[in-house]
This record gives sequence, structure tokens and C-alpha cells, in this order.
Amino acid sequence: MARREEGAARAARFADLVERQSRFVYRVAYAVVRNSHDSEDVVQETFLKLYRTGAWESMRDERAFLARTAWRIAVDRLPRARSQALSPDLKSHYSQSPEDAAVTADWSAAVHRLIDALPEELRQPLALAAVEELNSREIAQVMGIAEGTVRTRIMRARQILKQKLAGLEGRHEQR
Amino acid sequence: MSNDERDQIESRLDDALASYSRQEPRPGLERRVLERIHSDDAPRLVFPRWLWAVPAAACLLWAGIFWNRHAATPERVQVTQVTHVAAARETAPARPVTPRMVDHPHKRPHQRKVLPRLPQFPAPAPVSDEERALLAFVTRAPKEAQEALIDAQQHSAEPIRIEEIKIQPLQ
Repeated sequence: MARREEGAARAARFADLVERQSRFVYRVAYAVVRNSHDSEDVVQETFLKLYRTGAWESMRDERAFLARTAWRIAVDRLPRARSQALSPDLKSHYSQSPEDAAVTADWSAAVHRLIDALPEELRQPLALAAVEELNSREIAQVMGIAEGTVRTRIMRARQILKQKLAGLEGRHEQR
Repeated sequence: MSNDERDQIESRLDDALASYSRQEPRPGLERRVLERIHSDDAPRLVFPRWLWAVPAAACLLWAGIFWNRHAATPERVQVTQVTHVAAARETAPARPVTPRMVDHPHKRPHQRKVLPRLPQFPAPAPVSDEERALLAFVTRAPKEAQEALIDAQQHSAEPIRIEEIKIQPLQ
């Protein structure tokens, strides 16, 4: 009887965790895999893994732990997910080069495509930084690299993007 | 590039980055996650992690018992010497048949037990029938018979004299 009550309380606590953090986990996953279908799979896999191992009961920093677990699962899925993320029409855009495609589309979408075209080692910290409430220390924990490296990579990614955006701006004005 | 243009690019970049991961999931994500977990949580055969220790402990116990028993009883085989030549048995004085302890070739040599030192060695044995008969003879026989026995013993102790053999040369 006591064991049943304990099990019910445990299930309720886990359901509370899912309610509280599933959207955050989804955004972390989306920052890596860049499509909603795979992101949802990553969320489910993340919580399932936590539930099976029981690791969720001993988490100290809940968000960092969840983000790291989700990031690892997402990175494992990355090659497949990225090929799915690039739909045929987007691929034709890329065949023009991201810069040319960006000129014809709206700015936000153009910047997203430019970010997608960055090398993974620069794109991932930048994308995780875009996820609200993840600072460089947490990103370093998630990716398992030094905090200084995270800052350097984000700065480098931003520099590349600014240069490309300046080029696009010039072409747009010429037209 | 002017400062205004730089600021404009910067702000556009920040806006685009903010929206980059601001993707919302389809409604009902939490419910779907919990449903998946409940479906996975169906009763299934779960072996406790310590279960592997049971056969391991049984194996260790068996090995310990086997080792103890093996060490307690020396694995030796008694081998009797066999004389297979009949002629040799007739001519040569009969060899005492001594049991020989031979170590089993594939067994590990183990430590010999040290026996306690005896006050008298060899250990006293009960008097045999022959010895008992000799004692009876000594106590009952007349003096002459004893002297005769002593005399016979002395005679038997003396060297046997054999006369020189003389062989005639062949003609």
C-alpha cells in the first residue's frame, strides 16, 4: 500500500517536471536539429531516458542537466535531422548560395539560413545562446567545453554573420 | 560602413537570433511525453542489478568447498612393484614388496603434513606369534638344549671351509 502511494507520488513529481521543462527541452533540441518532428522525438527520448535511469530524482541543476541530456540526444540525431530539415525548396535556395537566397526572402529567414550554414562548432553555441535563459556557463556545461571557448565561438559566429549580412545589405540596396 | 548601418545589422542579427530557437512545439507535447512514458512503464520483467551476484557467490562457494576438500585428502595412488620375470623371482632373493607412493602427475603438489615426534621409534608393536614361541622355548627348554642351540649358532657363524678342488689336466 505504502509502495503504491510512493509510486503515485513519484509519477506525479515526474509529470510536474515534464509540465515545467518540456518546452525548454524542446527549444534546446530545436536549436540543434532544426525541425519540429525530430525535436519532439528528442524531447520524448530525453524524458524517457531520465525516467528509466531515475537520474531525474538526483538532479542538482535541473535545467543544465536536461539541456545536456537533450543536447546529446539531439547531436546523435543531427546528420539525419539536418538532411530532413533542408526541404527540397530550401535546397534549391542553397544551390543559389545562402546569400542570394537571402536577398529574395525576408531578413529573418535569411539570417536563419545563414546561421544554418555555419559550421556546427560555431552554430551550436550560437543557437543555444539564442535559447532563452541559457548563459555561456550553462552552454559550456551542456557542450562539455570551456566557457571561454563558448564565448569565442559565439563571437566568431556573430562576426561571420555580420559580414555576410553587410554583403547582403549592399546587394539589396543595389537592386 | 557607417555606425548606423552597423547598429542596424547588429539589431537585425539579434532579432533573428532571438527567433532562431523560439519555435513552439505542437500543442499537447507534455501529454504525449507522459503517454509515451506510461506505455513504456508497463510491467515488464526487470532484473535487479544485484541479481548477478547470486550465481557468482554460488560459484565462489563451490570453488571454496572443492579447494578445501581437495587440500584435505592427498591425491595419491598406491602402486605395487610388479616383478614380471618369473626366472628372476626364482634365482634372486625375493624382493620385499614395498608399496610406493607416487604422486599423481597432473595434480599440484601440496604441503606435507608434519607428524609429531614419537618418544620411541619405531612405534612399539605387539609381540608376533614367532616371537612368542621363541620366548616359550627359552623359558621351558632344558639347559642342554639351550647350550646346543648356542653351539649351533656359533657353528653357523663360523666360515664354511671348502676343500680345494683339484682338477686333473686334460690329456
